[in-house]
Amino acid sequence: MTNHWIDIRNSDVILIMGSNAAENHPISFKWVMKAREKGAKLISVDPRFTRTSARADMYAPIRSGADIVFLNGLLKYIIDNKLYDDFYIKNYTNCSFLVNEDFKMPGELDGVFSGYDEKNRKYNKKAWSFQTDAEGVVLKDRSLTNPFTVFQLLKKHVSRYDIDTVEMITGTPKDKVAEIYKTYASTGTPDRAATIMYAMGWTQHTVGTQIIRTMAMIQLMLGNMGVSGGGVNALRGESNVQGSTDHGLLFHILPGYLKTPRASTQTLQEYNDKWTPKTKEASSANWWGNYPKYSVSLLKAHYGSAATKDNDFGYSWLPKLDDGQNASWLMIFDQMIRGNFEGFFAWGQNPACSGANAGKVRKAMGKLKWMVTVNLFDNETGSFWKGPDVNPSDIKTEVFELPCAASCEKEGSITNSGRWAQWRYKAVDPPGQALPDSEIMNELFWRVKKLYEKDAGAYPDPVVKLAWDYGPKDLKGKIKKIDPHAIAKEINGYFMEDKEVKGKLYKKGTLVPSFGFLQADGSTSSGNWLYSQSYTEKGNMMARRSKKDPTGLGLYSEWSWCWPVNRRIIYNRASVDENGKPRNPKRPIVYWNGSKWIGDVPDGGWPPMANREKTRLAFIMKPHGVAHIFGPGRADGPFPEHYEPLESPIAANPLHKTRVNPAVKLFYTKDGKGLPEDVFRTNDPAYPHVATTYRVTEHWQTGVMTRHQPWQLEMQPQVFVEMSKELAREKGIKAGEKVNVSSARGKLWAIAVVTTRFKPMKIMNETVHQVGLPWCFGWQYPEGGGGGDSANLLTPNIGDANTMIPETKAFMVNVEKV
Amino acid sequence: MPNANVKERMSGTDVVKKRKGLMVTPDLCIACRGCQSACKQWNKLPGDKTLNSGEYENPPNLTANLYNQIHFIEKNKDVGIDWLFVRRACMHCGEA
Repeated sequence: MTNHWIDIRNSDVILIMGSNAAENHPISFKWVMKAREKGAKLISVDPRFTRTSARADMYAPIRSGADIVFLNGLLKYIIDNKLYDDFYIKNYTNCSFLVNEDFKMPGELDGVFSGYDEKNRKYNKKAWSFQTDAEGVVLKDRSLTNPFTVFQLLKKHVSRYDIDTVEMITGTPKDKVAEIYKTYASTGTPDRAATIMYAMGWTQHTVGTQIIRTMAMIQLMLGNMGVSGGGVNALRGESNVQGSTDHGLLFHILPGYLKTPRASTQTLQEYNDKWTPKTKEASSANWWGNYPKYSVSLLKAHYGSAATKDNDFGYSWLPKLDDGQNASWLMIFDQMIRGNFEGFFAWGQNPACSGANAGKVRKAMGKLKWMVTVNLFDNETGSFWKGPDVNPSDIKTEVFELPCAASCEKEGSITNSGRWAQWRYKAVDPPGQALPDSEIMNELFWRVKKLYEKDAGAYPDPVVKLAWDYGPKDLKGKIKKIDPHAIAKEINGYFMEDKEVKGKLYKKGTLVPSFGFLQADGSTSSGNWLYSQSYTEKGNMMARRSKKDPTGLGLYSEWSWCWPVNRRIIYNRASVDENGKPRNPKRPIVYWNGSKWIGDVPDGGWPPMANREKTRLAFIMKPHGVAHIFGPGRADGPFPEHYEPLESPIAANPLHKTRVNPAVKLFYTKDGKGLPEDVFRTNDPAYPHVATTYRVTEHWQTGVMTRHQPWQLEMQPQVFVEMSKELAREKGIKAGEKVNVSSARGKLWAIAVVTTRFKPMKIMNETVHQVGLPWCFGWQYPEGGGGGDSANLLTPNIGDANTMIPETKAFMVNVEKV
Repeated sequence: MPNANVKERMSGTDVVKKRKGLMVTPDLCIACRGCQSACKQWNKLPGDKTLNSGEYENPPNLTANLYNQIHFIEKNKDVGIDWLFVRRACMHCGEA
């Protein structure tokens, strides 16, 4: 979230699309309802009428996977009717930038942008660049009339998404589209703000990143970024998903969104040079210019005194990915099924049910020599070897199950979707031999380290040099008990030697006050620069519980702590005029009092724009200092374009000849490349219905915690497939009957929920039925398989072009009577 | 309320004595069914083994082990539909 949960109450218009907040984030609805009490309009766009739709002022159905068409249509509506925030787009975005004259768009190149390399399914981005003067400064036209301005190019690009096209492709009735566009675009004035609440319904598509980018562009065009009641707000699916992402859970990032090193950057210098952006814009803060301070401080946190200037602070000890290598979820199981892994840790997860194309996942685990599951309960992953259609004697994988502590059985921080890191205390001891994850890691570290010390091994340094200073040690040097405070302090960072910064001397061992004090010379450490200031000499900021709210906007700045530097709404200096006066006096998030900023923590303390010399542009993380309407960083285009899901009900992309996102990795091709498990069938009469997957309020993720809970199971006991009355009539299916649902990859039984909440859609003048299933069930519990299995047995083996998140939200199935 | 009354207050008997009516605002309900679960927890009632009968509502009615249930009603309107969430309860408790 760029904003935070409570701030939803400050919105005038709330769009819930790609999420079902009432069912999957029910607590968030408290703030939605508060906004509605004050007159806000709630819009729900979803293939299915949900519990969210039941409380909405407007509901519109949409075919799964057609979101970009809907949103590009909104961009066109905003531009055609001049409803954009003119001041905002000229000052805070790259709308006025002149793009290279060679740049061509999908409307001109039959569905692709300039530079497409079909063989490698990749773009050469040379033409996706800006025109510059002799000094390298980007040329701009603040009148926005030059045909090569970002603004004019965008106008041309989205001109193809007229309302009739939107209706034909999305299946959303035109009158509904018009009503929603009008309501949402009404927030282009400074005194109104709209927010978006999205989740996996947007991310899990082959064009997921671009769906979210389209929405970010809409928010920028309407001036809704950096303001109270606005923002782009991702509702995260686990209580600490935000925290785990911040701390480098994913393969391509280290803590604090630093890049995972690649094989081609062999030295720290090369690595820092590659990832430290430069700028020619005089007024750009270019905050990532500080990259070396953060990377060196991270290495100091990892390796402590072993990291010195002479050994590149241990940079060579960091594991490196090959150039161009993707090591995300789908790739892990693809490599596993090909026999390229010996062992696997399934830590706090149940991939046998949560993984896309779960049949492949289950098969892949049988190729392992060993697997360790760390979980509260045994589940379909730990017991995969005795699952349906599996003969245990065929499986050679040795499975070790380690019981771990639940959230209330350990101390530590969790970071919510709004970036608030909140400290939690331990309430009870874990049962039996269960241990907190950190203790399990400590055991693992100690034993691996001892093995390296005993047997040397190929490359011991990355492990044996780790600082690992998280509590009192026993005589052998092993940490007796992990102290979560020691970890939190290391994340914040220390001065590693006496150091003078900003005219003040800090003693060795002092906690750094914030990331503004981190150094690139090895004199500071920080396990995650973004969390620097969370645990300082003033104490544990995350444990704060003050209910003071001086702005009245619900910032509660002394309740817990939020990154970066406790800024509750990021990009907040984009909410003011050139003199630092709030453009919306009703909800002033920051203002300049003549010498400093008051309100939320500003994005830097520089004076407002009127002070041409000293000011710094509001979007400090971008090298040019402004937000990207034209976004050349993406793999699949600087503007969002509609491509059909891998499996879709229509034969071709109605807009041009490029059916599927041209930059996605195809696991399976028509000429037979790929594994049989990766097969897909598009526009195939054998699989005529669009399907999507979701969660239900009554179960948590794959249901490992809730399927053992009789009260929850009583409410949602079995997997179901929701369908329209029309489809049920066509197939002779009655509500409550068991039916089979199948895709090209797998099948499962489900109970038919026949409802008016799904309706047949008209897509390109053809009737299309959509169905939906939850993925929270599994064969193991309730006993005897009475609850059914996970809908992920059906989902396809394909991911987004930028993130490789699997496309589980739009695929094709058949539904038949048993 | 003085501490001596805590036990009585927790049991809800004082509320029952003073209560004139029960205000329910279904407009605010999102049918999360947290109350359905919480009621079971409060009254220490076991979960019943159920089957999905083709809709979200479950169990289909109040039982000896279910004192509070959310009834889901789908209704066609002139334009679109309504999904109404109505709370059905034993009406014996003071806390709800």
